[in-house]
Amino acid sequence: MQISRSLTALAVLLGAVSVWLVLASPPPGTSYAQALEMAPASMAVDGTLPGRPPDGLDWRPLDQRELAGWRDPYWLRWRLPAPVAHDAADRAMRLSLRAASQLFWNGQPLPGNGQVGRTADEEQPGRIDIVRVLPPSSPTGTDELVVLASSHHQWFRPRSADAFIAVGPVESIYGHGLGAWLIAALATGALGAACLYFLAVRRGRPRVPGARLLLGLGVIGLALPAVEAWRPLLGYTYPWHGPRLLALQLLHLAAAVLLPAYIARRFCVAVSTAARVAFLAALVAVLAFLPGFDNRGAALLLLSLLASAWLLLRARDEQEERWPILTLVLAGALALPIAGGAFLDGPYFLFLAVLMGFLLLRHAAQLRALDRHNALLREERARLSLQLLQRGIQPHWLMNTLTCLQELIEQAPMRASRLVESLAEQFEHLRESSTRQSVPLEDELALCRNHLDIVGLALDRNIGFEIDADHTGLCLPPGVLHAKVENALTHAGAVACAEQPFHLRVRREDDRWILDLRAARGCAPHRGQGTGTRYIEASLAAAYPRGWRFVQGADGAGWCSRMELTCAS
Amino acid sequence: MRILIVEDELLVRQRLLRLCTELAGTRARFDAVADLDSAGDRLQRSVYDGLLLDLNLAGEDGFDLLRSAVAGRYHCVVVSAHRERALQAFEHGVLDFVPKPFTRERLGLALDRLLDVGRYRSGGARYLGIWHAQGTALVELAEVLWIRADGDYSQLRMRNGRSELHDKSLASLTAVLPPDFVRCHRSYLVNLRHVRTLHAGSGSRYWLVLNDGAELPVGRAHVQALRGELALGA
Repeated sequence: MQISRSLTALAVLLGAVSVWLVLASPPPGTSYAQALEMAPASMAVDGTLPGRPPDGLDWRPLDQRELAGWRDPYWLRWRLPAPVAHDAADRAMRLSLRAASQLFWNGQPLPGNGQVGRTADEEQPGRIDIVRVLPPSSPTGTDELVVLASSHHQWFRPRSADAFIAVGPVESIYGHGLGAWLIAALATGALGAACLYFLAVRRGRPRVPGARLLLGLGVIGLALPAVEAWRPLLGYTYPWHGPRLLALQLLHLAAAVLLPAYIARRFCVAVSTAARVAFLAALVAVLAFLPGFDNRGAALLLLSLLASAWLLLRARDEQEERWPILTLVLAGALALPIAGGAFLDGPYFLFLAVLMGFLLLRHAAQLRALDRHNALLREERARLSLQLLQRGIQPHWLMNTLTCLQELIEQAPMRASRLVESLAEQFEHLRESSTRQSVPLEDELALCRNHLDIVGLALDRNIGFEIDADHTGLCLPPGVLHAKVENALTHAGAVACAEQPFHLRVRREDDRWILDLRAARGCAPHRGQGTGTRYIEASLAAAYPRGWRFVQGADGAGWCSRMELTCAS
Repeated sequence: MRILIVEDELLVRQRLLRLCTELAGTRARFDAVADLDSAGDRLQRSVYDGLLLDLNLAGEDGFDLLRSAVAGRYHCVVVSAHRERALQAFEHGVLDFVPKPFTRERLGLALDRLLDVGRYRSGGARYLGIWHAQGTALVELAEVLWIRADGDYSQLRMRNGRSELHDKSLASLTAVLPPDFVRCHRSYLVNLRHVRTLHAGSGSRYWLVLNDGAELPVGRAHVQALRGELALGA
């Protein structure tokens, strides 16, 4: 089953990423170019900015790093080979530049982008990406784009200016990338639906490990493509570029922390405090010292995916859940070094959406399975309650006791009266216990002592019950010790039980309660295989799923039973 | 007549002993023991005619005990709290089943049946317990062709040709056998289920032919009754 799930998850991921890559690839006829040269803009005598590209500028080769630090007005120049005549009339250009800008195409002004200014007050920030339909090409065979720009509202200094243009057919320039983002939108919608479905399934149910972490990851999976798509789909003025990058970095950091945290919690993998601190320190170090936005994001996610894979390999349970997740995580970890920043710009959302969708759906399936299990437990509890009552009024014991009562009424009325009182008390204990899933040890002991009182009255001998217990806070499924007492009386006989009193020892070891009950042995060969034992085992299984152990056997003249129960805490 | 009471509950044992002694008067003497080992000792040392037996003695399966008890020469009355297993007890060949808690009157009826076993017949037994060296074996009565008196014992002839010896006399067995078994001769009980024909032989002697071809003698005193039984059966 885990193999088919792993392959399905991987196939969905590869399919989504493939479609994304196809739709995001540059359309035919589009060319990209960085600016070739840059030059500071010189002011006129009256201090105004030049209205057209002046001659004799101090052009220098473009240095994106240096340009990233320029604030005052500056010039940029691109030179492109002019296209052949037949498609020259249908061209557009996308300019990406963190600045307010004024554009000149072959010396002719194009519509501006914001207001270039000498100071921050004068400048009106332009949009980070703009598209302009281009005039006809130059007959000289070379087109020239000159841009006057200023970047006074850049709040932090990025590593690179990332100034480039894409020139191509109008349809390609306007529509480029929309298909890819449609895939991202579909993935985001599916993830949103999975989150809502998970919330609906989770509502009103008991908490399960890691549910909040998973929902946190889901929110990040929804927020990341929204923040990423903000630029290509809606656009913004360039001062927002810094906060957007910061938001993306924080989302990457949060995802890097939450994914391994969820996996550790979900699969109950113990992680030492030192390992946690080391992991967080590594993330912080990446943020603080690694240059470049894409490098930091990729490093954060690679660390997160490797840590997640390590945790999944250390987990022992739920193979069918672990392998698909491990496959996805390893696929993501492999893609990061290969694709780097390209992975972060697109396929990463798809990876996160597929992974999160898988986790949410599996988690919801687990909740439903837990529901079914709880329903079975409720049913089992009702059955056990009924069985407890039935055992309390089982014909052999009750009818024998009533026969004894008949004799006592005729021979010893006072003892008969006490027997009636004890019987009434016994049935009250049973009625009360049968309505509860667990009872304090003191109540269970009272039920046992009451039962022994009744048998002792019929026998006219006291049957002892010695307790050696530090039992504060211990609760038991009702009737389990009572069933052991009944078994001893049935198999060993009341006389043997009177000669060898019951002895109960209760102690706590680490996270377990251990109850040792010693009673008379008797000689019945089939002891330990009857309805009493089955009742005890079913009750413990219902109350302590996967957290109980019950063994019994002869020990010399005694019959020893041991229950081990995992503490609820 | 001597009757042994086997009951592990002290008060119930006392009650049985007291009531039985009052009800039987001089017709019987009673002894009471608390467990099967003591019962075995008593049965070996003394001759008892009947048992009043509790089915659950210190956790032992009552029907293991019952098979041993009904295989003996004595008749058995079960006094038990396991009311739901009464029918099964009759199938194992007990004379009566007294459910606990019991009244003086109900116990009296069972005692009468035990003390005057000859007056009662057509029981509900489906099995008979047979003593073997290895223990007690059960024989299904439907598999028995006929039963022949063999001194104080009875010989059972099975359909598969085997014979088994039972500790009870023919007269004692009659009290627990189902109506299928009828007396056809002073020394024979026949299972009507396996009778093919009744025919007259030479010298006014009558014979029953069984399904396996074997023939059983029919006593003159039983011919008329047997004809009636066979006609009813037809």
